[in-house]
Amino acid sequence: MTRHTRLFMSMAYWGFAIYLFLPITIMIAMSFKDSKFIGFPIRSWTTDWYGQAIANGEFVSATGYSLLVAVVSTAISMVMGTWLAVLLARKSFWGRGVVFALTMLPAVVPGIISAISFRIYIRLIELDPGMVAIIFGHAVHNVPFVALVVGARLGTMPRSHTEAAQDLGADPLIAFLRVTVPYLKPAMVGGAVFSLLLSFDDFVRSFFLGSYEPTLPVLLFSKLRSGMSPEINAISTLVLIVTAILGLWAERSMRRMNKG
Amino acid sequence: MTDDVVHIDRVTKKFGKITALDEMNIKIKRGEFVTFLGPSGCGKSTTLRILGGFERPDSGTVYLSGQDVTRLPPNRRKVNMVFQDYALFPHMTVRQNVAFGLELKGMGRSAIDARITEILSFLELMPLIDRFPDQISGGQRQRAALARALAPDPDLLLLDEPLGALDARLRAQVQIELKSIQRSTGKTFFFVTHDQDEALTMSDRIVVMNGGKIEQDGTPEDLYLRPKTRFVAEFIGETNMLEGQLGTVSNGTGAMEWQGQTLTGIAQKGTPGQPVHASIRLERVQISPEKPSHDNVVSGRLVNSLFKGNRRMFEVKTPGATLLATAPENDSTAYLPGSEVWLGWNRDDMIILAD
Repeated sequence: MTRHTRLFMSMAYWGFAIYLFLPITIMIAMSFKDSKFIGFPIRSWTTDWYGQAIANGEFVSATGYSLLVAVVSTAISMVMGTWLAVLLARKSFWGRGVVFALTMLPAVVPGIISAISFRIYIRLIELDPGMVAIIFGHAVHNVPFVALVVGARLGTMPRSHTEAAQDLGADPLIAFLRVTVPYLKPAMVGGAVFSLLLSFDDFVRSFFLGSYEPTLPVLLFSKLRSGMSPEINAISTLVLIVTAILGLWAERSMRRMNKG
Repeated sequence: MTDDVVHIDRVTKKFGKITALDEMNIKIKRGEFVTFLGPSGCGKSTTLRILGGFERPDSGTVYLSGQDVTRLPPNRRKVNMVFQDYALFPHMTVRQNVAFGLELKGMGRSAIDARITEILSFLELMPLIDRFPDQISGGQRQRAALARALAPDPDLLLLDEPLGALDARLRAQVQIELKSIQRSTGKTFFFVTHDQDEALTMSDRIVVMNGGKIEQDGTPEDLYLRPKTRFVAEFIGETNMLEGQLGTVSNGTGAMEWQGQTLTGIAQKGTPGQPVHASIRLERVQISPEKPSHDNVVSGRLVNSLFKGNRRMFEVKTPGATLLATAPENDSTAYLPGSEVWLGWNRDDMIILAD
């Protein structure tokens, strides 16, 4: 590589990094600005917006609601996704291609299309919009991601491990629970965190399938319509910090355990 | 109660168009160290997996300690296996790995602890009891896998090329160890390998397989000294193979016409004139500068002389074939490449095998 291309490459990299982080940095800065007006210059700093956001019952209950939806939908997609990964790990069976395509479909269908079709569907089965419908929509959307991560790990597991378990007296269920699941654990942790973040972050499905009680992204959207406020910046900053820590932790623990 | 731990009765197993086992019959006695030897794809691993319960025969019956187990799943057989890659559970310590089979047998906590201590002390693994498999060496992993398989006290222990992953020096040491473990536990060992050296060192009995069939079944001495087929003669040890026509046969001795000369050796039966091969072990072919007084004598030109440490090896070109001969490493006769030499071997050292 010549000196010029190296220079160009590093400039491109830093350009990308700035492009990525500048908006976030501005958002964080504004959440500490002691003024309702968003913009520079910042003359004095405050943490009042955080106090207000936390004291605001609306934000707190929306966050709780989003967390509940994330946890329950993740639990469902973990069971479904792991089961599908195990099914698809078998070398060949009739209809394997179809099962694989159906498993992956929710990951590639555009969010808006999937949200509208769910909306029609719940009307058809006479399910009211609300928590159950949102959980249902999120769970289906997250299954392929869990199946992919768990399936990749399963592909690296030697067949001899389950055979050894059976050889030592385990029936297929005990072999699965005591040998296969522990082997899959890092991938399952990673898949669960990813699924939690996807659900917590989802706007389109929650918007179409929800009733009057908003999830956090839906609440933020409705607040935005009445204008930006430093309070929104504060709550967004908090969400950013928590999700970043969770995501990085999951990535690190997956990498560490994958080596073993 | 029969004395045979294993009885495989006319078992056939096919994978698609490939016949892995063809009407296989064998009985194995309690306490035997039996090695199944053969090239890859000969059916030795399929036999092992059928005994473990991981493959089901297409036809035929498998008996373990007299009980028909043909349709019994692996977890309900009193058979344990040491896998080629050891298959130790990575999330469990050595102790937990060994405990796994004992817990599933429904043993009590104190009985399990006692058995773990017993087996791990016997295999000198006590210092590593709380280590995970990735924290111990290859040789230690191999012993941990052996401990795990021996702990539930199986009727039969299956070993699937368990020394393949070890380096040469360690392998030689483990071979001796395994043999003495087998002798002191009195367990029946069913060992699978493609390494003839391993088979000769450890086994009470060797079964040579080829193409889904048993070629020969006997003691290491039988197979080495009295091979019944050309395949066995060539697969075990190093040998010179001569191609000729059978002469007369009587009283276990036969003549073979080879390059206008009549050689005598051990022969079972056959019709004069039929094409045959004769096998002569390298170490039985003696080299000398003058014509020796052996039963069979051939002259030729020395092509190569190789020093192998424990012996010297000679490559001699005769009109019919290039033969290999050996001499002790302290034989000080100077043989020069290109010189004329004589090769000689006795009647008992040549085995004539029908094609």
